[in-house]
Amino acid sequence: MSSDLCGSSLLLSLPDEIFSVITSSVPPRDVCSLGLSCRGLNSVVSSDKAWLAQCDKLGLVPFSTLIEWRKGVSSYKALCRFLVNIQPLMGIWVHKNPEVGNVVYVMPGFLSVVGCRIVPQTIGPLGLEDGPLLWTSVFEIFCKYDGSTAFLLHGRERGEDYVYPGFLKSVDRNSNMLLLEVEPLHQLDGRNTSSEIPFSPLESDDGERLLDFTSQVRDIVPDAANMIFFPPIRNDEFFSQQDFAVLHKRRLLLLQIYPGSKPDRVGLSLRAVTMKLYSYVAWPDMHDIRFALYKLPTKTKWDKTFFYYRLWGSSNY
Amino acid sequence: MAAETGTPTTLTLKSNDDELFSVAESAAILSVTIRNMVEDGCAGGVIPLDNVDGKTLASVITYMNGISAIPADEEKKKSYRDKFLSDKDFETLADMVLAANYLNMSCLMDAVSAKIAQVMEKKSVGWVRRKFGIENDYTPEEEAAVKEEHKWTFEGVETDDDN
Repeated sequence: MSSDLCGSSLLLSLPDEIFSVITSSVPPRDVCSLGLSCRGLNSVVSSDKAWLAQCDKLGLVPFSTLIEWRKGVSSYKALCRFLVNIQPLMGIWVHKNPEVGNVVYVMPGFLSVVGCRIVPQTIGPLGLEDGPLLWTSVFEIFCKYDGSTAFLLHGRERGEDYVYPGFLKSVDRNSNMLLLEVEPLHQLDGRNTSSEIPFSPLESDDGERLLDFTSQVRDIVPDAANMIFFPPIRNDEFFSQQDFAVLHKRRLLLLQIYPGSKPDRVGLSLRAVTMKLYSYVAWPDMHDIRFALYKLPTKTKWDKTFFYYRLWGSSNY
Repeated sequence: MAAETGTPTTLTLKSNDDELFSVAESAAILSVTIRNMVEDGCAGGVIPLDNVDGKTLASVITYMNGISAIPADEEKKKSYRDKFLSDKDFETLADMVLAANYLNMSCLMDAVSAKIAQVMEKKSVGWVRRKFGIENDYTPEEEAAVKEEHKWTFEGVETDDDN
């Protein structure tokens, strides 16, 4: 076949925009296989156009949002790495008795995904159309400049807002369980003992001890920054450039608090795993003893009716 | 305009290697580039297509005639496109995608792009090198670094630590 003779020059001769149209229908892995074959192709497949198409194809956030998010990362490739990583987290997670508040909805934030606990509330006859739902944020996973992640647990105690830095340990592609785990870190003295204590085998009152534990390592959000970290209620629905500036600033401030890839005080980590679960009418069979959130089957495709951008505009989305 | 007399208008297209082709206007205006020229009144004489060679243009015209003969039935059009592209080698596909881009023919562009993507799909780096006759010009250190940078695309799981 003549195509065996044409070499990389044929691929290299394709303009950027055509290349991105072609690669938009293959997954990131195939784009990278091309790039790994030689230097010339690596520079072609590293183009922002190709990776913007990859990001867009994931369908997690609208195109215009990708453009805005690009300002906070080194490249669309870095952004794509983040989006691919957190994609399995998107959707609804539940624990036993969702009616008492064990429902966490994971949705896009600003260069982040946010886990929102839906506060138990009475909803009027029109359902969601009746008015905003009460929610409170539980955690947020940020996209750092290079596309890696920063995990922050949110908390509120005696009227103060807190953030607890941890890290996103791993995310299975088809994960159905979300585990919050704690491991003592001994990295400072060179030993890295794996004395990991996941929530799961702990007795129920150990959960409270864990709360004591985390209360020792929390970072108090400074009052002055409070308005930025947890912005107050907004009434209008549309973002202006000024709002984006505030959101970029908020992210940078939170990333400054974040201790880096090796949290030095406590190994608080989030892990999304795949377990064999039994379910009844799509409702997972949940273990009483495990402290974990279970995924509900849901569509994760971007839906235009989903006004994520109001998230930071109000504490009662 | 011959449309008023009822006889179909024929356009003459010229490739960059000076081959001349006659094609019905109704088929040729699948190309937005050609349609704009017709609307601007430049279609009187010969329409020069500077970025397309004769071999490729012949192929594109076959496609134009074939697809415009099919009534508005997306299923049938799709199966025509599949059949039309099935016997094309990679070099021809690459020429056609460039031509489709230049001629601004989105349906052909999408179909050829998808076909090229199909060739690349789920292939190893070694396969890509063999298929396209690419010489590995990385040093072992560079290759390891590029692999490391793209590790996340090759694994089902990304871990921030090395467990």
